[in-house]
Amino acid sequence: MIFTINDLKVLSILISGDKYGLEIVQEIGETGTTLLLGSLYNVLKKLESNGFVKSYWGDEVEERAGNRRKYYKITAKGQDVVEENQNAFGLMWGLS
Amino acid sequence: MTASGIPIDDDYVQDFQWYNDFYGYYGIHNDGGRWEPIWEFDGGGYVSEPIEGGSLGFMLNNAGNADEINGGFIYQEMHANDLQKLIQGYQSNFNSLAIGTNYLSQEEIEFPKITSKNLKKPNKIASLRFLIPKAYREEFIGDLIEMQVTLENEGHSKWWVFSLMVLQIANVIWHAAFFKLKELFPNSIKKD
Repeated sequence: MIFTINDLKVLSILISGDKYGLEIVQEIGETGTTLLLGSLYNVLKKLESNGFVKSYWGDEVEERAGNRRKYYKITAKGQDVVEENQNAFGLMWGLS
Repeated sequence: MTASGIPIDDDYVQDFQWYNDFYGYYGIHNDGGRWEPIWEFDGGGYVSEPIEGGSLGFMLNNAGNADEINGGFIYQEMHANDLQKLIQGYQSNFNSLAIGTNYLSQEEIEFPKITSKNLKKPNKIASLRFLIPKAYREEFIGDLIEMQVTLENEGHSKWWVFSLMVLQIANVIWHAAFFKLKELFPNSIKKD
């Protein structure tokens, strides 16, 4: 699989813990870039179908009008990708 | 006692309507003017298995105090979604339950009328859910509503928030359409 910058950004965010879609978008937004939800789901779907992340449903939340949050968890395979691409992450997040 | 004329709490109107439609009957408890679903409670524990022949959450408490029904039932507030889950979980048992027959027959109870006036006003964004592909629907609508609430609380103008929501919806539809096309014509679209 060829990773895009967005794939790697999402993986690097999930390293710090399980997160749901809006949470990931907000964290990416804090770095000064924008990712729309549709693009994010696209990325997550691709990562999930290739075994880099797993998803599970949380409980219903009142502020979401009773809809559940879908959380994403990075797998060991995904963690390997993050470790292999540490340099790229450093450049992406301005940490180099 | 008749049930007509008693105000129904908005939070429960939708689930009331749901199982009224589903079973052609209803069972909620009225406590001081507020309608609440009731269900069987396992003395200090959580929801228990339904007693054979009992009436899990579907009995109208005519006595006004759920403990007085028969000592085995007490009421508790329950969120509509939890109630629906519970009902779905026990759906197979309901066919054999004698609902409410210990107290009032269906003919003796005058049911409150549900009209469009007291149905909860739907969220505008949620009403667009039919546009969203099923695979993303619950996740996306939830994220969108949460985003809308956050942005409005931050003081952004309604028009700006609405425009952003429309953009998000268009983006999801575009990606879903792209995936579909890619499935249908795998050799024509090279983008990964």
